[in-house]
Amino acid sequence: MSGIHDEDLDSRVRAALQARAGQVALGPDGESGAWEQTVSRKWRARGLASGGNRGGRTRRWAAPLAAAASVAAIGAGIGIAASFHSAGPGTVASPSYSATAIPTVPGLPGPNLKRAQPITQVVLVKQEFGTSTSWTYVWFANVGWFSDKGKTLVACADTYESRQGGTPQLGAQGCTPIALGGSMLAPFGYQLGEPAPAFDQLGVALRRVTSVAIQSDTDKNQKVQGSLIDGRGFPYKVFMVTFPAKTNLTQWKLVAHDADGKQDSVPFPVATAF
Amino acid sequence: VETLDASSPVPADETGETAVAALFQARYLDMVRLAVLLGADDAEDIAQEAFARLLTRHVTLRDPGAALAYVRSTVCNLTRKRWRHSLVVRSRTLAMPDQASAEHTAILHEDHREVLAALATLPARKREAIVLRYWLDLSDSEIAAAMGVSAGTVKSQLSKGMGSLGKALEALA
Repeated sequence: MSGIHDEDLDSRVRAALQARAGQVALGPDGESGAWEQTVSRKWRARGLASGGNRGGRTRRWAAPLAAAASVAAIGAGIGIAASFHSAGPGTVASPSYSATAIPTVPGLPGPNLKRAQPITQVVLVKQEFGTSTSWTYVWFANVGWFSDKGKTLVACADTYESRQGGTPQLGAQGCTPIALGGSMLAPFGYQLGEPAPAFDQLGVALRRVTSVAIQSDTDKNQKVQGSLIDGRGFPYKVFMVTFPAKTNLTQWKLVAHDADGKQDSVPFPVATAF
Repeated sequence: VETLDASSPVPADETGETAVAALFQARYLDMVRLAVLLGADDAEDIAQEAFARLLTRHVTLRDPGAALAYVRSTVCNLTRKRWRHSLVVRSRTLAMPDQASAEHTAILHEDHREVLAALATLPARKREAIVLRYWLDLSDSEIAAAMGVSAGTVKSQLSKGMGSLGKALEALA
């Protein structure tokens, strides 16, 4: 059979394929954009794959997080009251991480990770408040339980909390649809369990946002700087503002700034909750 | 606040993500082109999916050459599967000609256009074998790995495919 075609046909096929291949160009995002999308798919693929393989997922999450040497040094400075937050004002999260630094990190998956499969990286945020420690897992998912018409993009968080070195307990957790409504940021209600030494206010912000804080309407010097959390595939940044439970929050607001200096704000405290 | 990559219990360097990124930089466009030549409507999507799958499996791919072969094979498989689905969808609606845009048709040399049109009429396996041989210059064993078949099957598909292509071109003439 190999003698049916001839050299002329071979060369015609080669030339045609080369010509067509030479016309192929990448889309507007280019190669770098394509790589970002590819990495994002990796996390989505892991989430989808784990959904059909419970054993696989268990093994994945059962891997000792203490061995996680790859630290996403995303934490921005915490400008919270100096006497309150153990990290102190203006402290930036360390880019390196000791393998023994979080020996009591709670096991995964939490309840939301089971039902809201991540389509992005899952970022773990650890915070310390005096003798209390919390671990919050943050990610994005597409879920079907908010609408009959299809999937809804949601930001999710599962929090574990340890008081005075005790066994971590599951605290606040949930998923919230993204509803920016033209604003630069959208908070969702959230707090540590009562009686809590501190409260967390979480929310999402446009990716161009560079800082989020809660600020008094009456005294601009009264301000608690938040952290912006980013991860691979995150369609928005997640912000977390932590403040002492006893803070008087009358007439405060959440304020966001972007790199161009633009500002946006929403009333605070937020009435909604998981 | 300390943030950790909770999804990656293995350090980034050990997962080989850097190596995959380098392979992506060197071969991504080629993989997009391969998907186009195999008849994919969503070539970039297929190429990205192939590299994403490599990212989830690269720990077991110790040989860099195997990584490229893996991506190539995934592009072939995904294109074939989506092409089949596409054919089903099209048969349920109206016949949609499997041809490139008017713009690229106009730019292509007339002979190239005829060859590509004839190639598009071939079954997926024959088209794959021809593209992998005549565009990527792969050996029989490399094509076999990409297609997931034996080297003997590759020879057969190539021979029959080129025969069919020749006849299709004669019919077009």
